[in-house]
Amino acid sequence: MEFTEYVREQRPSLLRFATVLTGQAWLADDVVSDVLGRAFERWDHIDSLARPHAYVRRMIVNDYLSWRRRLLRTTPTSDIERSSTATADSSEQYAERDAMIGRLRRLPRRQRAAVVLRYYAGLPDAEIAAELGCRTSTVRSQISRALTTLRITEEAPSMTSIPEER
Amino acid sequence: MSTLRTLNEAFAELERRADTLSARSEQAPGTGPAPRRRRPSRRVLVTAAAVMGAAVVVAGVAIGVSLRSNGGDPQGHGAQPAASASKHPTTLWQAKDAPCPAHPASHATLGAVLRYDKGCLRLISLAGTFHSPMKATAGESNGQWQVHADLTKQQAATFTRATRATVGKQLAMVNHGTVLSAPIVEEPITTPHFQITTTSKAQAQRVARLLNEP
Repeated sequence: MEFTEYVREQRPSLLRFATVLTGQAWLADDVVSDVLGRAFERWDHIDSLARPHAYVRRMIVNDYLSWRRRLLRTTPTSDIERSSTATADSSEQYAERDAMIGRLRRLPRRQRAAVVLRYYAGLPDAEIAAELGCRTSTVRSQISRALTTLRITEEAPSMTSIPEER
Repeated sequence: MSTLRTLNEAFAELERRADTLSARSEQAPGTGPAPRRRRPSRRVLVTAAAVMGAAVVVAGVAIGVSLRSNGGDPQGHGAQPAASASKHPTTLWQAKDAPCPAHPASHATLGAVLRYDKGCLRLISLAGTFHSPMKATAGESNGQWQVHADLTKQQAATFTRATRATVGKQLAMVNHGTVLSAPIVEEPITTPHFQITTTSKAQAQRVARLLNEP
């Protein structure tokens, strides 16, 4: 696939992933632009891989977790973050969702990345561990800690019998 | 407290914000998909910050290494190698949620608090024991993720006994200090097949894998 073709097709989904990861659309835009810039320089190599898209997504995670990105703490004030689409009958639900976005934003970056890779990208723990460069048990403990901070309880599963004639 | 549903709603809202930004940048000419050039001023700033940060990084790495060698992972017991663990029997315990201690017990004994994937369980009484792993598969039906498990005769008898005594309560399946699953018993399991309805795909897949090779 040509680089320009890849960008045209996949940029929106990369931008969505990066926004969920970083919590801010302007920062996601910055990260995706930087990553695509670097991907362009090595596109022949990336295109020859089995899953180029997964590789670019991993570049985004690494960029977000990098020292360079942590050192830049500028926040543009002109960005419009909040939509005013809340209506009276479901405002409570919106409030809960916005509070969740706020709690997500305050998570340590690695915990956030682990949560997003499991619950948004749907990766198994072993792949998350490979992507973050740590052990599977570390991924589990980070997610468990993050869920406590996010105040999420996963309801206990339930068990029922299946009739014989199955 | 929230549920995973709120988290998914938060993800959807963030996606929507990303789409709004994409739509805006598509309208503005010249700011399309082409990667932006980095401003030189920022590069100078980054370099300066990186030089200042380098000393801190070196110190941080040194501290990190020493912490890592002392610390260890409190949840390390969860990852038992399958081959050695299969020698241990799987036990069924009546269980209830408990606050997580700093150092959870690594073996199931009466009253122990065991950590599982999302929380901690206090084991109240032993309800049964069997030795062979179950046959389990994860699947989706009607939008709900489920684990189907097939039992041998001996396992089915154990399950019938254990679930009759724990209807409406949590029954933890424990193998060598690892909680395989701890579902709420909705009815006695009287056939050699049962299903566990989980709250997510990831949870279903994890439970199926654990039940197959405890």
